[in-house]
Amino acid sequence: MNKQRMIDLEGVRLLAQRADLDIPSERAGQVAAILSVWQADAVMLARRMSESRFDALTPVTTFSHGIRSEGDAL
Amino acid sequence: MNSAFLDFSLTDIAKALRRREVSAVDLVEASLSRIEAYDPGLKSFITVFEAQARQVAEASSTLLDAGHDLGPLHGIPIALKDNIAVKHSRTTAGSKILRDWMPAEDATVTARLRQAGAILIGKTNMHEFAWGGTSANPHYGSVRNPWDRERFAAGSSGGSAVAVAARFCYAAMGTDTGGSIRLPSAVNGTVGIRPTYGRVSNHGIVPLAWSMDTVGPMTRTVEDCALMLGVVAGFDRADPASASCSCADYLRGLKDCVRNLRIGVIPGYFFHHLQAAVYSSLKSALATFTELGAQIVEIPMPDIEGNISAQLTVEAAEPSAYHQRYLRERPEDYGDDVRTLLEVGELLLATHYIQAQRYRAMLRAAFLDAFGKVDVFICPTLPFTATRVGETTVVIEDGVAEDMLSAIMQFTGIASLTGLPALNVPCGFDADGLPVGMQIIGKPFDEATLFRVGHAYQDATDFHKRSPDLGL
Repeated sequence: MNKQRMIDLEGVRLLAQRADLDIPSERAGQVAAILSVWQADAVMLARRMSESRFDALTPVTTFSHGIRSEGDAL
Repeated sequence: MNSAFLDFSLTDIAKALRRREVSAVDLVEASLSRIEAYDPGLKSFITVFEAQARQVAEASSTLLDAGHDLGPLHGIPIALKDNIAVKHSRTTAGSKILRDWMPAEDATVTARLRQAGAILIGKTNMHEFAWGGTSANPHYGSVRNPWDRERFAAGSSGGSAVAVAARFCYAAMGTDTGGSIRLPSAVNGTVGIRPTYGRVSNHGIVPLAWSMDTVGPMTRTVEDCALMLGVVAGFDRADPASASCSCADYLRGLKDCVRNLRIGVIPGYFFHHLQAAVYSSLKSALATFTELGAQIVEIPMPDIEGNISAQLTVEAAEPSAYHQRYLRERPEDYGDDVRTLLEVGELLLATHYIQAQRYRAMLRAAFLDAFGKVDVFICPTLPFTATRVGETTVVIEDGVAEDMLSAIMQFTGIASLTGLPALNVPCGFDADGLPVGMQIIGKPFDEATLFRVGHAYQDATDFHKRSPDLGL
């Protein structure tokens, strides 16, 4: 993981403030530890999904089963 | 009380009931006795419906004697995960926050089970709000693995899997967002299916992540699982994501052979980074399928590596939206691990959530394209066997400790992200006698093929016939 992307306690405090969420200081460390790892992996995934080969790709929100789609069992 | 009947499969006990070799009253009494004797050490139930189950059993027996057969589950004890609503019975979702919640109506699956004649024996323990993979519950106790009580039951539907494996009931319902039916099924040696997203109604189930939540049956045999899915599957107007296409008859064609079946494997991912026993069990399972006439086809999928990050991002963000009010009003009422995950989910970036949802679209398209070349994919359900209770990291190989949540979703996240159906089938045991599970992933709404493949495997092997010794 890129050390520069580690989220410290102050980072958690600022993010929580923006989310209007009270994260007690004694809990901030464990939140920071998980968030740093997940955020770093999410950055890598975001880079991948920003490649031009995916320009036409739209996000899944929920699947629509109203009409038969390609690959569905016949 | 003759408890030997508890070893029967659901299918076989249903036949025995109709032959009058046993009654619903016998089954409920045997079930309750076994729960009373052994569940204090396993913690698989949060609530047991003793009085209600006895009343319904009497009525079921009377009805059957009078020639009224309510359906395939008539008189059979079934359990429900405690995030599935049962009218006027507490439904806690494994939480302190919902400790006293008494739903005003049944979940759709509950109603369908009742209509098919099932006797609801109780509500099973789970990871709090289904947000975690260990079923270590700070409010109702950690669910223990019946094969070794020092080992975890996985989760989040750990109680349902243990209740089935321990012969407390013939089937149980679980829910699966990131693997919560398949993971406990694997480590407890039971069968469990995550149906196609939308195949079974989520109405009346406490949500975890709306875009991935599913509910499905957990049993001891594939045939029982097919029977159960046939009862609960189908369109439901009350669930906005419910699929309107018709259901297959999951029992018809169940016993057809798998000759010429094309089994897909993803090289470099499906058989990489596994405990040795998991690797050898899966290789043996594929060899069994080859002997049965199936073909193994390698399907390269270079973008598969991103699936765990996408899974964790979606699974973290959506629950945090659902829990926003409780997290601000009653944060101290959550267990420490779930509270932390909900706090993390609040702090993720919106763009990362959207990129994860775009990844899902790409991965689903890749799998749909691959289904032109193969009928199913087969991989491990998880890369390791049951770890010790309370552990938050796991060593898979080379002595390196890894985060449990990321490691446990290495293979289950695929079906969760893509909405595809996936079935866990027991396929071996490690040197400590702990079960190994394989995951069969299929085309959308093609659960019938998963059952056919799983049944063919159980017909050729006997892993599913072993039972844990609770007397230890």
